[in-house]
Amino acid sequence: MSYRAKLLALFTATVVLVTALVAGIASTSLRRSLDRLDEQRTAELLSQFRHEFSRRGDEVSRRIEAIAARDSTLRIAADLGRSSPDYAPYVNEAGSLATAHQFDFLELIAHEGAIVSSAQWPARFGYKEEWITAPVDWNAQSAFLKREDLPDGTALALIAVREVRAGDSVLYIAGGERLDRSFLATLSLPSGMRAMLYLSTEPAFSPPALTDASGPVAHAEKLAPVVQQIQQQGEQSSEVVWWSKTPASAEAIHGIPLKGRAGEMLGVLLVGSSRHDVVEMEKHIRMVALVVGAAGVLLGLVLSGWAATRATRPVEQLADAAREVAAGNWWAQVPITSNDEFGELASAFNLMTRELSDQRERLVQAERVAAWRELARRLAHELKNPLFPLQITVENLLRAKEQNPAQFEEVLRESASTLLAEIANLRAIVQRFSDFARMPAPELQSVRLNEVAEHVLKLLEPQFTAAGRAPITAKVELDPELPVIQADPELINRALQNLVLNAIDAMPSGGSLGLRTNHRDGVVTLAVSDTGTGLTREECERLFTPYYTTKQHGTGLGLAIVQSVVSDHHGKITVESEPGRGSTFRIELPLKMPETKTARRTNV
Amino acid sequence: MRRSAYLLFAAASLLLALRPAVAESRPRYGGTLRVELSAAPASLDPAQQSAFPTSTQEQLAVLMFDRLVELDQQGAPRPGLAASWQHDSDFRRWLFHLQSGVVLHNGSPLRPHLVVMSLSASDPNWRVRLQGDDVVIESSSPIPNLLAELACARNAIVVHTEAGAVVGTGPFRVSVWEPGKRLVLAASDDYWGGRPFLDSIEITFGRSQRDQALDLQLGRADVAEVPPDQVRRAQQDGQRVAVSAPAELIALAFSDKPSVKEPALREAISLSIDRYAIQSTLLQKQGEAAAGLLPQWVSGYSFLFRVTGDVERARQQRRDLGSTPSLTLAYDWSDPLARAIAERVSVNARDIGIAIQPYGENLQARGANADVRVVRIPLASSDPAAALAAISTATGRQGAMQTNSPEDLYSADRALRSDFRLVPVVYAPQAWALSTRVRNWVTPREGGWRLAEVWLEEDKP
Repeated sequence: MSYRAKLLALFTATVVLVTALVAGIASTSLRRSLDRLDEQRTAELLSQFRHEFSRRGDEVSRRIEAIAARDSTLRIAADLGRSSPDYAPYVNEAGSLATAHQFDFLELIAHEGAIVSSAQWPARFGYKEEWITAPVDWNAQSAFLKREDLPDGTALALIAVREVRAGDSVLYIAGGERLDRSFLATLSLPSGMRAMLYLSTEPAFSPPALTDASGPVAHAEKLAPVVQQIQQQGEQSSEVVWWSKTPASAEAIHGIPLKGRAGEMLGVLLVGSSRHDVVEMEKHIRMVALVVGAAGVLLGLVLSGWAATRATRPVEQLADAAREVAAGNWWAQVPITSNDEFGELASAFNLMTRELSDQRERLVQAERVAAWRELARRLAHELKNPLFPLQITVENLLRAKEQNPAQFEEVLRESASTLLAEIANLRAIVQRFSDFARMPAPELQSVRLNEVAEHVLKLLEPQFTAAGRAPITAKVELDPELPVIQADPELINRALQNLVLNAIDAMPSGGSLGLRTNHRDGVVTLAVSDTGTGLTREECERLFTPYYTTKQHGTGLGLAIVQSVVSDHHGKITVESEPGRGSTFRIELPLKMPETKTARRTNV
Repeated sequence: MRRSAYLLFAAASLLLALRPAVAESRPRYGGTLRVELSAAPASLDPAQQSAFPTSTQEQLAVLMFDRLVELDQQGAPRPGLAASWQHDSDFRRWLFHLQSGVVLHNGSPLRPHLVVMSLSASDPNWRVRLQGDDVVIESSSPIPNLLAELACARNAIVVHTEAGAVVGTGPFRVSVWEPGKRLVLAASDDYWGGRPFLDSIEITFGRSQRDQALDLQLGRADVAEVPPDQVRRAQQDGQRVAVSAPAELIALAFSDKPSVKEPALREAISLSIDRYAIQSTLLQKQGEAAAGLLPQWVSGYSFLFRVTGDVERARQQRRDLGSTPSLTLAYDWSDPLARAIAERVSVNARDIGIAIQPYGENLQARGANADVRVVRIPLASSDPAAALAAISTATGRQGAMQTNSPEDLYSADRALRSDFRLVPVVYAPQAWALSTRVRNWVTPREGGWRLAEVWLEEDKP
């Protein structure tokens, strides 16, 4: 992974992490705010209910007081206060009064607690309401919740009681309103909220007993836990109920116990706050946050890319310059665009390349001088051998003419043959140098390298056992599956001969010569090894330098020619050697040469 | 002179004061009596009565149909279609000599065989036959109270014509009949007992008590029903109210359904009922609490029965029964008093742990599917034996009483209630509110009316 990619990844990760962190904090904070808002709404509704409850209670009390203040009521009280009161005439009185004053419940109760008249249950006349005879100043009591018995069950009522006194006689007026779905319907609830009443006091939860303003609550059993908790603990409680698996179906339920005058549990008021809007708002905000976050991340990516590019540009320029240097452009320079660390680095790089260029130039010059010296030494050496006989022969001719003219003819003939031989020798030397300078361009054709190896081995095999030298054994391991390559067979043949001849020369005391071929990954390898004297590391490094030789009688062009041939075939030659342990030359040739690189190299 | 002048002035003043009274006491022919009833009978045939005949059916029957014998205000028999009668010593054979010249409303004379046919359908225990122009009724057992039996409306002489109509010989004949809605009766000019004063009677059915009171107040009706609980209020309001003696038994009739098969359950419910509270409060002290099947004024022994409930005993019986089903108690939806009584019975039963759910339905139209019904049984006769026999017949038991002795009737009363299938609750009177132009209204003690003797005061301009 490039430095720029790493930098980009680092920047991106930072941006994403920061964005996620901010989004998470914002989301949590928002959710808490919404929850607080929801709680506030519920608290307001509960407060509204209590206020409405109180207001209704006051209203009920006022209306009961109005009934109590009627003259006719006073007359009833007086009539019932007689020694043998007759309740019968008033048995329907409560019904009429309840209708006139719009009460759901109204009872006229005699001083001993007997029901004189009941609007809600007319047939209960004569039965006693023991609770009303308790020593309570009912006129000072506000309205309270009470469970009223009805023919078809019970109902929760908001009841007020007032006493009407006529002498020693007391007539109780107990009346009020029913707390049911109609009562709930009168509560003005914010959107998404609803109020429910649970009006059963049985220990087991009874779903039909739970109603809201529109009727029985569907799937009421889901509210059983919160209802039962309130019933058992007598305190308000809250719970979130999921009506389905979708979060938007959730509803926050807050319940408060409805207690009677003596603190007895009469029912439960539940306020449901649908989380639909909250969930939808959260979803919307989450979507917006996602879009903003994605945009932020995208922008962060772009900016990170720009920053990474800007930050890594000097490094890349340095890398490019280094590659140029590697490619041979020793004079490569990096522009200095800043005064920071990268500027110093670029400056140092430029200084380095300048120094390297200077040193290389000096080295090349030195090598060039050394090469010329070596060439001169070699030429001098090569030319000195034939020149000395030529000089001796010419001096012999001159001496013979001056000192022995008679034998001059004979000496001339002998000297002429010697001169011609040496001149031929000189021509051969010149021809070798000329051949090296004029290496032909490869003429490519399909070549079976095993056949070339076998041909060279067969050609030079007599020298392995030549007289006067220790025998050499050949170890041939040719890959039978070796593919055909595109090469110039003559040049390959010549290169391989040079390598084999060098191996023979390296084993004056005999040894083993190895010849192996194989192929892998589109490359054919030809290895020639010997068990000869081996080469030092310095010798290996200079081995392919033209005119360098480790032998007493050599031009130093053999391996240079081999390298030239291999190079013209876009191959590679390497050597592995240790002194005293022989050497291995390994030629690697591609199966197919690039078509654009077959131009003839004109010089070495 | 001055003294004479004073005497003349006093005499003149007395004559002026007495003149309207004299004028009112003079009967007047003509006019239409407008009556409104809450009931809505579907048939005028007394034979097509439900198990418990209603007061309305009996009241209508006596207007159109005659009986062989009638009972006067004191309960003594007097001739009806039968001018005279004889019986043997053990009351098994009775011979009735019919009035002569009696014609049916369709103009044909009343033949004795038509009387025989009508009476034969009344009671299967009677063997009714002709003996010359006389009618003989025989029975295998003594029927000493046959005259009272024959005075009952259910034994009225009804003749079925070939066209399927019913005709009688009563003081009024049917002029217009719209079942359940309206009945117009015209005076029978050739009635054997003399033409009624009224030209016609127009009866409107299905009127609620509120509408009846309103129509009476507005002068659109002359006679309206007054429920017992409204009698006192109506009287206090200055209305003309005619009230009978306790003449209608309001009782609980248990069905044969398995839910109420236990006599102990029925007895527990009977014991739980606070009859005095019902009589004093719901009936506003009208009528009387009923422990027996007959009111005290008819039986003379009803005071021997315990009227007060026994809640503790009822609770004990309820506990002994173990679990009891929830029962249904039906009442006539058009009868507010029946509803009030049903609800009170439900409250009393709940007090001992028995759940009874009252509900209203058209008992006449549907018949009851409930476990218990609130029924009104009109007093069929002022004769205790006949009245008891009517109740006995209505409850599907032996009809005629074979004795008139109070001891036997007491025993028969107890026996009829021994299985608690029929639980008396209260005896209610019948009451009528009358407009000011109705004259000579007589309310029989046993309830009903005698409209043949009523006349209307001329409308004042």
